[in-house]
Amino acid sequence: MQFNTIEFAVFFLCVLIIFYIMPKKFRWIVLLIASGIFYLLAGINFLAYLGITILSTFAFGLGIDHIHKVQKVNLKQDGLTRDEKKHIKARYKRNRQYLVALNLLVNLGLLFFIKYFNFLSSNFSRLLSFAKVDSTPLLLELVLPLGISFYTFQTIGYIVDVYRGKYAAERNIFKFALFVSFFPQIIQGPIGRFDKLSPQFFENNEFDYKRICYGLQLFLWGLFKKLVIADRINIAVNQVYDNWKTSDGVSFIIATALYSIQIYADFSGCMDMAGGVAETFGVQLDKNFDHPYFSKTMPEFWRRWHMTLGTWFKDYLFYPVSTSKFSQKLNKKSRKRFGNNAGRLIAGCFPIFVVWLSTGFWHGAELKYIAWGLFHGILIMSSLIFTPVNNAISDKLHIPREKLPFRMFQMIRTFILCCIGRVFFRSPSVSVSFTILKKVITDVNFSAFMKRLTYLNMGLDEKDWCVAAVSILLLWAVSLIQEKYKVRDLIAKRFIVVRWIVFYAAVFAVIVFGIYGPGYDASTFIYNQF
Amino acid sequence: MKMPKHAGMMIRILLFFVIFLLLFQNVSRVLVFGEKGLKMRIRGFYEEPANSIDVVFLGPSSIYPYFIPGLAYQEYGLVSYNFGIPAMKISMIKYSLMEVEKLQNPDLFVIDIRTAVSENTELNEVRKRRLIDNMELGEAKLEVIHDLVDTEDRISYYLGIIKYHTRWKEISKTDLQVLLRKTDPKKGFQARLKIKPCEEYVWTGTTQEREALTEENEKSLRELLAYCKENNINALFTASPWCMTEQTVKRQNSLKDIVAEYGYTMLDTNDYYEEMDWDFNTDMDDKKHANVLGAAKYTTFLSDYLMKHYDLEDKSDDAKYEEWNQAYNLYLKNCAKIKKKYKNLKLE
Amino acid sequence: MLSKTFTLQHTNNKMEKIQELLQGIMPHIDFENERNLIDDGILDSLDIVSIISELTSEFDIEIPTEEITPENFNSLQSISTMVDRLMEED
Repeated sequence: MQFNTIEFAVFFLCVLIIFYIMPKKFRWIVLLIASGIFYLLAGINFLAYLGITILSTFAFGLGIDHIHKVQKVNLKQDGLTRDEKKHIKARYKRNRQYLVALNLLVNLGLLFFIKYFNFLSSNFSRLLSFAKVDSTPLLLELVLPLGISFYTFQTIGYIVDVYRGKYAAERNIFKFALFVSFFPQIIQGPIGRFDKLSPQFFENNEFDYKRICYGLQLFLWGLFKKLVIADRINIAVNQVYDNWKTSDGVSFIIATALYSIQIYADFSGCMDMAGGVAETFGVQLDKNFDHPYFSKTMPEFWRRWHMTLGTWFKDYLFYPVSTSKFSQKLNKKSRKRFGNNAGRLIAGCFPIFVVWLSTGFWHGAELKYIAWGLFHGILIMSSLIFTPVNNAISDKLHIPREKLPFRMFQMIRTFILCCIGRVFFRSPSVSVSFTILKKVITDVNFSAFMKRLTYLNMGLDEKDWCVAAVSILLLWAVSLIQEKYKVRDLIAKRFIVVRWIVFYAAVFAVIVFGIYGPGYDASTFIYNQF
Repeated sequence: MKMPKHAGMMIRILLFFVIFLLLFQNVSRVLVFGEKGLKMRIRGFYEEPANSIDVVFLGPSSIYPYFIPGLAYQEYGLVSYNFGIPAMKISMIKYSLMEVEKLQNPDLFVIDIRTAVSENTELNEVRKRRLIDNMELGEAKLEVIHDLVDTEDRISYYLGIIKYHTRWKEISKTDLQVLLRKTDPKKGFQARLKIKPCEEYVWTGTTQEREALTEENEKSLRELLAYCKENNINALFTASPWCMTEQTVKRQNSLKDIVAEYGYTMLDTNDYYEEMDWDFNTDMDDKKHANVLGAAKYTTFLSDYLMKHYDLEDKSDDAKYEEWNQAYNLYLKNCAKIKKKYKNLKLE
Repeated sequence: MLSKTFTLQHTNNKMEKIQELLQGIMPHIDFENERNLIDDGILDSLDIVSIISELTSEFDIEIPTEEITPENFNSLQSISTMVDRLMEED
């Protein structure tokens, strides 16, 4: 069930009403049942996969906790030497590691299998064909359970945190099930952390009119971004990219820039809808976007885009890899050989590329996502390498880096680099991406652009372009304001008539300008005259 | 302490929703449905004062290009309205009858059923929407959606804005007039301004033979007649002048039989070409529809018939019906237009 | 009394040693005065990795990932405190 459907609106309203009718201590159960129903509607087979992950992670979590306890008891024994203590710790740590490994095997294995089996199989065939061995790839009809990439990562985060002793394992399977399956965030995240998310289900859920209103307003804003902006631009982007063979360079420039805006409006819109829904229940989901296109450098971009994925990879892949014995040896040797600055960068390549390849791979079982991940990995490395160089140059040239013009230059530069990456993300394949990038330089049809033919051939007429332009400008303006203020607070301070005008305008903007419904074609009526 | 606090909040919530519903209803008014003439005709009908119209004409395009309410009022003081819908199938007439009955309770329905002699046509989405989307929410609308629309499609019929919201790009004067709840100045008449000589398409023979209608059409017709009989509807069934073939004539003969079975009269105006001074070379817009010149003849003939055979009041000089005088003026303008267009034909 | 002074001195020596180490790999950062090394973005993740590499080999401790928090790395003092704690736990 997607957020932008009438079914969801009805579902959400019912859950909201039942939630607040129930006494406070049962309210989390309402959320659990609602999440179960929500997931059930996505298909009963999928519920089995979710169930396996919930049960296994819960069980392994308890197991790890148990080992922690046993370890503590054993360490309290009298007369243990330092070495003996070390030995005990190491042994129990190994046991805990086995459990974590088993859990990863089950859950990450499940994710891997369902998501990547066909990809690996067909590429294996391709490799064989390079070796002149003919084979037909074994392909299975595997349908991805809803949100599996997200909830699997969320549960892995939990089990690793329990292993690290960050908090005790959850002892109530139903409470744990709610953490994993909470319906606003199960489809697309944000990827939550147990210690931050779970307590919220059980506290601060008293009826708060203002908080509920705020949640609904956030939901409305997300709906606007998705239905009015993202789905509208999508038409133009599809037109250009699906017909990539005949689209020219200028079309690709426009479509790619638009795609960057589309994907932001779509993803952050869904995040706002999820966040708004959660807020009405008193749950604050983690922020996933912080106006990424205001970033001045690529590392900054990745601290503002899909933030929970970034921090997940940082805490559960980057740091473990980069603080591993192998990586540390590399780091030390590298710094000895190349000096501290260059050395740490060179040694940094290894964990950075592991993370970026994984990030790319996580997005989809296709080569193009890996290429995209690699591209961003290279950009991050380049940024780390060149930033001090660039700073030195601009210092010499007396360019004021803090002033607006330079910051704007940096933002535009970052945006353009992002767009190049988006080409790989959106194109059907890596080879097509290179074709497109070539077209952008070689096949530029300015005369068609000047005659307005370019953008009138993208499936949108002038009126649609007007709506797109105005709504994107509105998005930009709101984003600017949000950098400093909380917009909902600003609105709440206004006179009631003004507030309601804003809300009605937003609602009707979605109803009238949203891209939804079977569509109306006047010509079908004309052909039914008699 | 809790009660007043919550009361204020509840009032605000309620008020917000009430205003939202009002806005929503009006936005729907503007955007829902795109065929201007039809939208005005049906929506305008809802704005007529209740129980003010004496004769309502029902049917497809065999009705509204033919009868001129303005002229009928001018000549006989007859207060009438064309509740006609393009390409309407017999099976749908019942629903428009239900709705009109509720709003106006007219003294007489005149229902044109010549379409029953045609071959079967599909009850497609367009045909359904032409009636349903212009109806106001009520019992009849819910019934017709329930009867004619598949469950999975119904939501866009209940909430027309789901389908029509993209019409924001093409809002017309008609949409705004519907928003302002204006009545139809033409009282449902559609003036056609072409002259197409059609005499060659008319079968000149006569026959009393009958040919059966298609099974579907006969079934629909009988259902309609049964409904009228059950509900004691005062109705006259008609067939307006058109280019008939031999088969059409035979089938139209069957029509008369079937109508008679239920105790109703059928007036086949195709038997009265001489009385109407009907000329297929000047009075037709195309093979199936009259132009404004033919419509004048038809109106005079039929109004005369109605006044003679039914107990209908002459309401000329009744200030309540000033709009019908306006409708007559519009008709005169259309006459002038067609005569100017075809100067060479020297029409009077 | 004597042991307390000894411990304090020992700690101060350790902090000086840590400062020396850090300043050696990142000469441009003012470790003496900065209090928000992580929160203000003065140290990025690669810097942290290098610091960990130095600290683990110098003091023969393990700095697991869950120790990588602003609380532990925001200032020289907090880094030193963390090192002390990890040495003791071992």
